[in-house]
Amino acid sequence: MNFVYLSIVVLIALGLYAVLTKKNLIKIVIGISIIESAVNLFLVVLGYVEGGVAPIYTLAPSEKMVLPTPQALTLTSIVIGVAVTALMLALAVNYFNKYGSLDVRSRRLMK
Amino acid sequence: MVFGIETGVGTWNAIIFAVAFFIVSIVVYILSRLLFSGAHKEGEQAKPFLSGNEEVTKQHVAASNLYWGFTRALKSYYDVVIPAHTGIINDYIGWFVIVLAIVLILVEVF
Amino acid sequence: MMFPHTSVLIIAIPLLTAFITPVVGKVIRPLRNVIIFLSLLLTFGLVISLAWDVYSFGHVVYTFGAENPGITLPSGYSLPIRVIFNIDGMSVFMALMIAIVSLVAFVYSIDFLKKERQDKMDKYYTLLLLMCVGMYGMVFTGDLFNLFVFFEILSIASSALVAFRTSGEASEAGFKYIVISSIAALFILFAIGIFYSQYNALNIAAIAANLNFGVLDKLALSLLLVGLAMKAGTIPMHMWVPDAYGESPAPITLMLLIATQASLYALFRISFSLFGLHANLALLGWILIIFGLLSMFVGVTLAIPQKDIKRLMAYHSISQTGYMLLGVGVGLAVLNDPTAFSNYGFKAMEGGIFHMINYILYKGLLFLTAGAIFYRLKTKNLDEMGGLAHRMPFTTLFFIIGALAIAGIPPFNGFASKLLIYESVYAFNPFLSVIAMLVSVLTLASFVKVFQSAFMGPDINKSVKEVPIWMLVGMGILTLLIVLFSLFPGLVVDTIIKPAVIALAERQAYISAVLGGVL
Repeated sequence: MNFVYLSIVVLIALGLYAVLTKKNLIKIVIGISIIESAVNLFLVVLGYVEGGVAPIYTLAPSEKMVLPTPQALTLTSIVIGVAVTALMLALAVNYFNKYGSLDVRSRRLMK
Repeated sequence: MVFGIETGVGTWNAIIFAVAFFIVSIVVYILSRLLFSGAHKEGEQAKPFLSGNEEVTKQHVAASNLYWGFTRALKSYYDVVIPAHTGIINDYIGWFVIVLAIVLILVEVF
Repeated sequence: MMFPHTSVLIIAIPLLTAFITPVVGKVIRPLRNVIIFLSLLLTFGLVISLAWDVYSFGHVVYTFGAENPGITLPSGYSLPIRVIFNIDGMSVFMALMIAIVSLVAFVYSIDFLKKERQDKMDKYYTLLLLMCVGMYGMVFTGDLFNLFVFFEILSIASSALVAFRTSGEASEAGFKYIVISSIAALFILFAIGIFYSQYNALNIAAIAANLNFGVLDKLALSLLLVGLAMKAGTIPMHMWVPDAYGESPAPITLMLLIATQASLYALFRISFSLFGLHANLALLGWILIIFGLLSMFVGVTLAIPQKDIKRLMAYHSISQTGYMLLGVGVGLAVLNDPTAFSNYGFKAMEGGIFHMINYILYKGLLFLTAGAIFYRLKTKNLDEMGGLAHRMPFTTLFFIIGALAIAGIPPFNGFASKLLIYESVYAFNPFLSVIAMLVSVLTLASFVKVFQSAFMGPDINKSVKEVPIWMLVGMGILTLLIVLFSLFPGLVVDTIIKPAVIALAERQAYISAVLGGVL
């Protein structure tokens, strides 16, 4: 199981690297999307029970099921992530239309 | 307790302050009428004394030039802080990561 | 109990109005404003009714999906399994502020944005009501994941409204705001996942009852603390504040003020109610005090060289948040020491929380006057303004009242809350109080600069008239509240602030309201 937690940490590190160093707006959005996938993976993995099946009662092969609450939390989080990504991309499109480039360094708000 | 709040060491009452302020301002007004009644309003005696120089004409000082003395006095502070505000989003998240690291170390050590 | 479903209706009515507004706007255009105003007024009435309940009974809990909303534990269980709203004095204090601010923002928007296309205004009002829903949800909920969901609703709606004027600068500010909110929210969700894995519960009271302060809990504490502090605009993570506050339209800046206060509320909630019984409170209090000191000082010194009126006020907003953090941080640091807490800790928290409502009133008024100037002059640059006192007398009067209140000049309400903070923090550590007073002087200095350059001086802009009536009504409501709070500080502190401080300080009562006295 430790392999999954290690890969979550690596994914968050990669996402933070993208947000911290990349100068293209779309790459920043991709970085945030990677962090979001990592956190969703973390939530799903929390519900794992050794040898459990999907938590559906109809025609269940065994009585031992994985915890269903984290799956509900992850679904909510995925939907929120879709809305946030859509909004970020819409704002990036408007940024490009008004400033002429997708570079973060062409910002006009500072100080 | 409706009009006043009690701090640990005293009280504050806005009505008493307003009444006191009003009374003191009346006293100041009466005194100013008594003492400044002989002042000149126009002519040579009304000009400010500027070491014999001409009085500068009234002009509008733009806002960037107000408080230049304060900004100049703290120049070493402002030269560090203002360039740190780059406006680039990567730096905003960079500060978040730095403060997160500091708080993690502090919470773990103490 | 008057009516058990008040808290859900406070969430449901703005949500319903938010979604029928575009439909009504397409079908019967003149009715839209009336419906929104009625729903905001109804929500205000419900908030007052809920406040009455809370001040009579202590805590009000609402369990979603149970037959009787007051029963939190299903029979035979020892952990609450449904989403529970846990409403105490601090929650209704925030809810009262949200109700007042949303009404004023709506009234001001009627005239401020009347030159926009009306279908764009439909979407504006929808997003404004969604912001209200997000804020009400954040302050009422007793469940961590529910806090995250409402936090995201609030940040998505407000970032779309920051970019309302689709200029390049506004989109840039909106993009920065949504990136900041998203990073903060994802790390908060990570911390919530850590809590779920350890305690198998998401309810704040249930986690607080079973908390043991191990390594993973310390990680979760720092993630939550720094994430919420970034959303509340503390130095050094404050850089999005001038961008977002400066580029949004003035009524949206007013709503953004209360949105950052909601993040500050969440910070206090996790410090006092979630970690209050088991964490090292002296350390947590000192972290909040250091955040507060940095915010106060750096905020105001950066405000002085600004040329743009709204960015200047946004830096002052950061500085005033520092006062709240200082006051509540001092209270948190001495919370476990009964004599010190009753001597000055309680008063420090009272000062910090009283400062929250004072700050919303006078800062909101100042941002609305800046919006009034922008409406007439089409510029935010202080170099291009001058002599407005001749042309806009009401706006000048409102600005004077707001500027005197923010600088802490007696007899205004800013002085009352700052006096509480100064005197209590002096008993804790004199150095902090000295810095607070110095910051207050610098605040007055920068507002004298704004007043001199914008309102005094020769009459540069000759074709400027006073602003339309609804904008004056919006500013007038806030001014009236400032004057009332200045004249009756004792009434406000006894009725609204003391229950809020007691609700935060009595950590065991928060847990017992949900778990029913079982630890």
